[in-house]
Amino acid sequence: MDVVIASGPLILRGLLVTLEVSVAVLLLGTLIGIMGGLSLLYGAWPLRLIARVYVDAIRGIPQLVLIFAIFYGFPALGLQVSAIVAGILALSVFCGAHVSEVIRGGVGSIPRGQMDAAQGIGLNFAQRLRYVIFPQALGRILPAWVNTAVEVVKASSLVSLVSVVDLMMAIQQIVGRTREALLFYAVAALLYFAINYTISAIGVRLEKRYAYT
Amino acid sequence: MTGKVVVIQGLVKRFDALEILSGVDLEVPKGEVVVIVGPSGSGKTTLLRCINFLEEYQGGRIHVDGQLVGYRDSGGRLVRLPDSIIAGMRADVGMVFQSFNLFPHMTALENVVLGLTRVRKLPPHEAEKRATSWLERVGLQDKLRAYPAQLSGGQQQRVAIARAVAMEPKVMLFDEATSALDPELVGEVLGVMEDLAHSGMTMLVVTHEMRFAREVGHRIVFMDKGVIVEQGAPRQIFEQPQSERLRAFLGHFTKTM
Repeated sequence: MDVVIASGPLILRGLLVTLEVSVAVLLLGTLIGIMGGLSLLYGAWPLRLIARVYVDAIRGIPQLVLIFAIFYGFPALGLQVSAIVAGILALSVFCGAHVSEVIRGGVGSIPRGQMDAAQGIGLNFAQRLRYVIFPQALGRILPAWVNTAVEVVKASSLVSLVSVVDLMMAIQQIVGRTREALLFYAVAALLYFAINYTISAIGVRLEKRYAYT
Repeated sequence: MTGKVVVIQGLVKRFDALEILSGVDLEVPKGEVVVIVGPSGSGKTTLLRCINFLEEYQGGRIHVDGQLVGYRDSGGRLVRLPDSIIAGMRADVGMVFQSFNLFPHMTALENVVLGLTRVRKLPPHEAEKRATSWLERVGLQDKLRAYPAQLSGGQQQRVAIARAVAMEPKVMLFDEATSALDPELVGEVLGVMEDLAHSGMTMLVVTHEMRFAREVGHRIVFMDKGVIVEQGAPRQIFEQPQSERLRAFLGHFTKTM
């Protein structure tokens, strides 16, 4: 027990970095996903094509390849990015592709008549989405978005491979020092699980709140 | 074009290779109730949807209140207007759909208020006042706070009518407003439509309710295969149909009239 307490500060710092990366990726990725999803649904064909290629390509590439491509690849283009920024960018691109498909599915499942009626009373495009389509789509988007969020938190452990000291890296450093592999990987597992369980629980509550039909 | 609320000239609508409307001409003066009848697939619904620019059209012109709908005329070519301008035009055309299309996440009152605050920019209390008075007029004063799922089909359609009329449109379009209703609920919706007609609202009504067409319509327009085949006063259309196609169409209804 003493070793766990002694390692507490390092684990906590790692945990905060993991949360920081996850939240940043979810915010940026969701933003990309909303634009991607709306492009897939309502974009003119060139935009639709670009969004489609982006979504399908990224979903077929391992997240680690994306992280390495940005961390080791960008400097060759004259762009210096720190390890944590490279990780956030790469995972946002990954998250954005998944959220694009989630948004497309959720918004696309709202009956056509809702858009007709919203147009009928003279709402403009942004108003139709904001007041009529999104509130109804939210209940259908949330479950799939929560799945993506859980994937993002798990994938955030990959940033340890470009030497970001997140929860995973902190645990590895501690294991290296103390040789208590089983104990500390159990601590890591428990903490990742706790984060994801919380996300899922919030998701279920929101889902109930936004279920209309 | 003075005095005409809707002027349609040579309207052509295609879905890819399929021609739905093949040159429709129709003028509707203020206060007239035009009932459009015809077999399914004749283009009636598409005609209404074009007037509200829920569908693009490929040829001809539609004017509502003197304004070209959906496009700007650039030396004879139609150039699509930006969405925000089209949205403003749609606010002046009320539409009621076969499937009601109420917003399920809003109460009856909120359904009616939405357009008043967001499009007409009324202050909330004024919007609520106007919405309430319209819901009262369609007999739903007890259902202001009810959600669509808690209402019968007839009640939902009356909310939908209130939602459209509250915007104070120049013309109201009814697209088979009673076709999705159980027979015992048709009357309450037709009653509201009749009330509107008597109040002087300009209306285009697509319906299979021949009794309504006859009693409330000022003019009957018979469409088939994307064109207007025949039109005239109800008495003339029902008692002295000129074309073979109209006679055949009316033949299907004689049993029920």
